[in-house]
Amino acid sequence: MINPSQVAVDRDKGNFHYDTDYSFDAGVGLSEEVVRYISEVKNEEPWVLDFRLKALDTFLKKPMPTHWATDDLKNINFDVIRYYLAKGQKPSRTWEEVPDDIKKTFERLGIPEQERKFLAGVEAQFDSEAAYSRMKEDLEKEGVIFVGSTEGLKEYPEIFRKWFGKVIPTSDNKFSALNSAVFSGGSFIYIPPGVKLAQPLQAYFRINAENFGQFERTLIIADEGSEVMYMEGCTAPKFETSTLHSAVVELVALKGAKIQYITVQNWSNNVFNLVTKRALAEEEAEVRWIDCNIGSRLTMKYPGVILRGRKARGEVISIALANDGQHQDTGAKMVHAADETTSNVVSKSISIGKGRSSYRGLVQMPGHLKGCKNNTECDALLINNNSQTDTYPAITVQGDDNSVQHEASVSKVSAEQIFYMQQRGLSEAEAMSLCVNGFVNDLIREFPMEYSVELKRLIELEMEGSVG
Amino acid sequence: MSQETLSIISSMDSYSFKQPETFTHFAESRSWEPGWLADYRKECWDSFASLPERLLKDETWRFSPRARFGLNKINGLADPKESLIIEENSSKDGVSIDLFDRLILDQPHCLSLLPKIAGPDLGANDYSLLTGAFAETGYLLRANRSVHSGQPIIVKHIEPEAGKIAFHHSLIELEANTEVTLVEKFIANETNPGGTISSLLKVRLGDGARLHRIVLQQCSKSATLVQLENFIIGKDGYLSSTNLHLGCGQTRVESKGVLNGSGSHFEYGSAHSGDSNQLFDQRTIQVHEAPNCTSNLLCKNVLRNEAKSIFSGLIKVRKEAQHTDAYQTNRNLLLSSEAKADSLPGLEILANEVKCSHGATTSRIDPQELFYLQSRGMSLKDAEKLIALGFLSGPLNSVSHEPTREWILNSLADSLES
Repeated sequence: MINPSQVAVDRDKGNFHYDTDYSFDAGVGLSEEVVRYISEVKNEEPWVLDFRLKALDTFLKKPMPTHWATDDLKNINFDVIRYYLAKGQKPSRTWEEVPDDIKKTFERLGIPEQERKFLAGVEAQFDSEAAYSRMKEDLEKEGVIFVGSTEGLKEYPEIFRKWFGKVIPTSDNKFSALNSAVFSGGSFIYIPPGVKLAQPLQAYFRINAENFGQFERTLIIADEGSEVMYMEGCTAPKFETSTLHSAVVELVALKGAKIQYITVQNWSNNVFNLVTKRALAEEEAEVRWIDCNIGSRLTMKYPGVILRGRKARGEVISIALANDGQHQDTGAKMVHAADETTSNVVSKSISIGKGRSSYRGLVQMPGHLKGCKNNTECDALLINNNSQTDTYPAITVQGDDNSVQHEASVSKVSAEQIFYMQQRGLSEAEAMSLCVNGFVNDLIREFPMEYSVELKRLIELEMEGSVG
Repeated sequence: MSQETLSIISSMDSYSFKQPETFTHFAESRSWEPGWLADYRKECWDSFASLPERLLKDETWRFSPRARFGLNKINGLADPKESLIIEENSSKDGVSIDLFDRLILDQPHCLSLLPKIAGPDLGANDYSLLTGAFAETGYLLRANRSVHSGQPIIVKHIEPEAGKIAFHHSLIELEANTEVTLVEKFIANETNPGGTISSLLKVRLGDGARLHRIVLQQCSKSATLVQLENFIIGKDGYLSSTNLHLGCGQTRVESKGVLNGSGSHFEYGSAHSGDSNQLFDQRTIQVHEAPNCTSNLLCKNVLRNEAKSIFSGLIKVRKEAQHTDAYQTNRNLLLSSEAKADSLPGLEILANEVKCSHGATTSRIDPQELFYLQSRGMSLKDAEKLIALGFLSGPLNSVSHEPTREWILNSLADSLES
């Protein structure tokens, strides 16, 4: 038999903290003044301020979604959170200009190194604002826009205002409303028609301050026939008190465009990660969400695709790893709104120790559509006696020309498998690690090379000490 | 106008179960009942009266047009004598079945288990509590010796006339190592269709007891059925519940299977064939409390015209329930562009040494299958019927008593023919 033990897990790459002086600080707690302060500091147009104030109103009115979600949400104290902290308003364009304390942080996380190696553009967000943003010059000449949210709304309103808040309306849920009220940072990206980015764009989100809430806002518009891959990584130091990260990510894939959005979430275990992500796919467009959740205390994230044009395709590939004290509540939403649209969801979760992972899914196909297809697979692996896993899909299908299949299974690494490998000379921990890597291997291959190596290493680290 | 006429008018407008007078009137008419039953009725009614207003977003009613199960179309209670019938010669050596009403007079102690077992608690708690408070009939099935009789016991629930509601509160108690086959028929009211049946069934199986239960529901297309059941299965027990629903405008079924003794098995099969604007709202839960138990659930729907089905099932495996093997399958066949199927299969697993899975599919009939049958000389309509028959017979095939299986398959074939 496998004898599990509860050894603290090492996931310490992001667990360090340098003291930083902030020039802009909206104080503690949420109020109209805070929202006005953020808007003023950013020197925003009046319509943006209106948008924020309306959102604040919606946020205050909406109840916590605890009628279906976990009660842990009640532990978020909105009054002790700091909603805006920034050192400067404009990101540096060269690495040398980045303030030393921030530079130290990102250098330790390996950001400039990665940029030199394989990225087309990088943005590094430190608490509320981007500290560094750079893109290869030739892309700029082709008309690619890669800026922060403030700059995007100010400099390119003709491009971004049309879609801003349209894929995810403010009132979508309580946390999208909160984000709409106090958003800062994030990436606004526009890819002109026919431009295909050979290398990915990357954003790195870092929470540095204690009791801080990060509310970045991302909007990616891929114009007709263009292609883009966007990657985001996140870390925070381990604080005693909880931290909130609540992002809104909107993707728009116009006719024939392709967007891949890759997330490797490795927040520390004190972060509430409550993120709303949704994409709109026009005719023959393709959107893929590739999502890996390793960190955080509670993650609630259900990337969705609204398949609005004929033959659009949506995909969600997700890996979740829940360790002691973590709840990974992830899933996918596929809303079919045009003929011959297809969607695919593959979700794998691993629960270790006292971890809990949940899958929540939504698939909708109205009756007037023809030839829509969905496939959903969710597999869960339980490692210890104390882990929990749940699956809650909701599937609505109407009409006689659509088809949906959903399958979920829960299993554990069998004693026989471990015994077989031990008998071949592997230690129990090695055998377990091999089994877990085998379980997620086909999904890890979907990540770009640099990330998949990193992921495998992270999973090995997480597994360390969980058996034996 | 006098006070009295006013109250008559208001009671004619709508028969309100929330009115304290409705209950006190009813309780007075049954003052001869034993005190514990009167207390239980009062307790149920009090809980009903203090139920919060319906929440807009209630997960247990997700996707359900709940108004169709509203109590406002009801103007009175059905005559209990005409709403539940036990077929003669049903009682045999070691097995006894009797009506609730008769037992209250002769052997009230037999019913003392009723208040101790709760309803399924999957959403329709208003119906469950009202049945506790107002039921005047129901059946009690007991087996106390190691008997195995292949011959099924037959109970008929009869749809009341339009506007009336029948509350049936029943109990099955099988002692260790007994085996019983029970057939429950829900029969349409031919003269004045459109009544409501609220049937609450509580089952407790002793160690090694086996219950085979078959339900055939053929109520009128304007009837409403709320069928609530809680099965508690003891060590090495076996319970199979096979359901075929053909009638009713709207059906809400809540089934809870609790495996609380190791080595027990719960087998649940249901087939729904829906037409016009029939609604089948089904909620199930398989609760694994003890180790080494197995459960298997298969729910199949064939929907034509504007028929709608909702399947919401949950497999819940408690921490102690190691070596659980549980399955749950929902398959829907949609034969028109308005037919709609909602599927909410769920898993909540707290033990690690388990094998659990669920599957849900919704689709049309494969055009190739239709083409094949047509090429053999069958009309499109007949081909569709044949495929629907084959599809729905899946859950019904688990009926082990052969004459009953044939009878239920024939009932399905007949309904597809018409």
